[in-house]
Amino acid sequence: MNKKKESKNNIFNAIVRNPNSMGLFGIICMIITFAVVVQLSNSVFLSRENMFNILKQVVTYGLLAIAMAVPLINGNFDMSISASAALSGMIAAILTTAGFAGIKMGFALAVFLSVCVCALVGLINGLIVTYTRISPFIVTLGTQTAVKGIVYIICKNKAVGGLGETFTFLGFGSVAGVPVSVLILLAVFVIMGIVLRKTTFGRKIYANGGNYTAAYYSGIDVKRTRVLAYVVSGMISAIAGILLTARSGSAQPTAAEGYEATAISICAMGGVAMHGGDGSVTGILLGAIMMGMISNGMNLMRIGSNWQYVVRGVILIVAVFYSQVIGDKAAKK
Amino acid sequence: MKKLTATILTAALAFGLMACGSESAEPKKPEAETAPETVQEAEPEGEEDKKVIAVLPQSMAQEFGADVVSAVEKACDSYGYECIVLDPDLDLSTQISMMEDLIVQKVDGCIFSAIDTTSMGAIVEELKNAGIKVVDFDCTVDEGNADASIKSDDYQGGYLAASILMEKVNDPQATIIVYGTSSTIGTGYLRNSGFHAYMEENYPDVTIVETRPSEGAGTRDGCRTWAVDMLTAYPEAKGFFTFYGDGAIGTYFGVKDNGREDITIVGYDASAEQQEIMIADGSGCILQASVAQYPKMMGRMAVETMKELFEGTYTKEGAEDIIYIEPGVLKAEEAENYEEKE
Repeated sequence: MNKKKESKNNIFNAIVRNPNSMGLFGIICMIITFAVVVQLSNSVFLSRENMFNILKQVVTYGLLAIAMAVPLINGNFDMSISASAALSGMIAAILTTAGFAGIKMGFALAVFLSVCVCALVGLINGLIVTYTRISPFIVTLGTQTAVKGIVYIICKNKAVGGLGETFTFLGFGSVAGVPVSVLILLAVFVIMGIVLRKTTFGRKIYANGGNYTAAYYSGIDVKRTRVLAYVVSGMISAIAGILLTARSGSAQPTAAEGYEATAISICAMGGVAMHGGDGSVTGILLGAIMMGMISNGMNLMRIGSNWQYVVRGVILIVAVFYSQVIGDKAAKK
Repeated sequence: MKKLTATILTAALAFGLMACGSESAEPKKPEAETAPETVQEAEPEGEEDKKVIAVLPQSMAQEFGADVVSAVEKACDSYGYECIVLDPDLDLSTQISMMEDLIVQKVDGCIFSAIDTTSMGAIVEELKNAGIKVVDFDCTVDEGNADASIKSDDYQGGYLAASILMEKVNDPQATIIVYGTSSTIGTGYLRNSGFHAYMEENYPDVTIVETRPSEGAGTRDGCRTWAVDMLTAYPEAKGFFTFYGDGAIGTYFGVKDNGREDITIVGYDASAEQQEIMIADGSGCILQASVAQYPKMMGRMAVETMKELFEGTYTKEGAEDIIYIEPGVLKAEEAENYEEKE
């Protein structure tokens, strides 16, 4: 009996003293508290239908948060994720409907091409950031603006609708009762979780972000890692854009505008360090769920849109502050 | 210490949310004063049967949307309905998410202006399948599957704007600057189409330059900068047409800053602010006219139609069956006597 109690205490201590666990403990606490409060106000909040609603609504934000997190953990910013998402959605929509310059193709090929184009955007970002002394924030802000212009040019300022059945299935279909878009979100998170934690590339990402100089002297090809981080970010942004287009029923040139700010918020809530070197996929997923719950919950509580901005801002600060406090205390131990 | 911090922060969060939630969840009581003549006598419903209507403009930052919403709130008050205002802020995905939330909330009615008229048929169908009555206004869904649709005749409005502009400009060889259509807002496309149609029929030699700002599009400040840039690029320009209210005001200030009193501007939405500008500047105001959509009337009619839908006394007869509001005109020379229809 005493051994069992000791063992449980050891597990508990391991969780409490692990800084990553404590950070997650914080956001889990907030999720549970928020859920309880909203459920008391509106009993449908925790219903299956509403939970799936929330998950569907966080697909784009969640994917863009992961797209933001990869360069962020690596110690850099990528502000072009929202524009890349708009670009990929538009390319895929045009190629599968009216075609572009006489070229029309099937859905799979269109998606592949869209992802390649956004990977190219990421490559451009990575190369400029790595081989010049221009701040990553400025570089990616510039590419964000340029890519936005490209989107307007290729769609001639018009939204592209009349999407095919595959798009519709992505946006509105389900498999075994689970929305397809949610399945894709979870798949991307699982893959990125494995990549970041279990592969050499992932370890290099963290090392770069933790201490660039130390990583360099330890033999890591820091420049290559940095460039690849941006390429990965571009590819995930592309997936986010295609799902956003599927969900919206049309490709909008203004799609995902401003979403990079939400992505940063999710990363911050999920414990991704703004200075790099720290962060977990689980935390980002929880952060995305929290963000979705905030909007959904406030709608269910019938809080007007104006007050929602205020509440969202306050919750963001509280969540990030809490993560920081826990992280600092755990680091001191 | 960690746990104490966690407890204090989560308690603060819980307290704040409960305070916000309880305040907004209280049902709106009908106003004590007599309802205005334009709204029928209300029969406030019992607490249990209180209908809930959600209203989603494209953006509350647009004066037109805000005017419609205020009229909807007023009409809901008089009928004893609870009104929820949601602001998608011109984001399509957000508007769809909000409407999905309405299904879960099981509201009784939804009044909205589509951010993308081409793709929102599916979400309208979901709302209807959930038993929610749907009324779309201004930017109505192309599929026409809402339970009722109310809009002003945008094409006619653009046509009218062109006729007024050219009456003032009076130059068949003039250069006219037109604010380019947004990719997502269908009404702008229709208004500009009507404008172009009039020009092609009556002034085929007029040069029309149609552009929109790359920065700050849809904002007043963006439009102001755009107008100044256009006058610099086309100093021979004689007139401007903008298809929305804030665009007209931004253009007005931009042109005024440039000192060009010879320019004629025709705008849209005929807002109170535009009227004030016209009154202040007199009949010679460069903002010569603005096409009126009567947003307050639109909001009131949306709620009245919703009431008829609840009572089963209104049925839409097909996608083309739209309740049209004939556009009016606010002119600078008559600005003092102009009254918006409610």
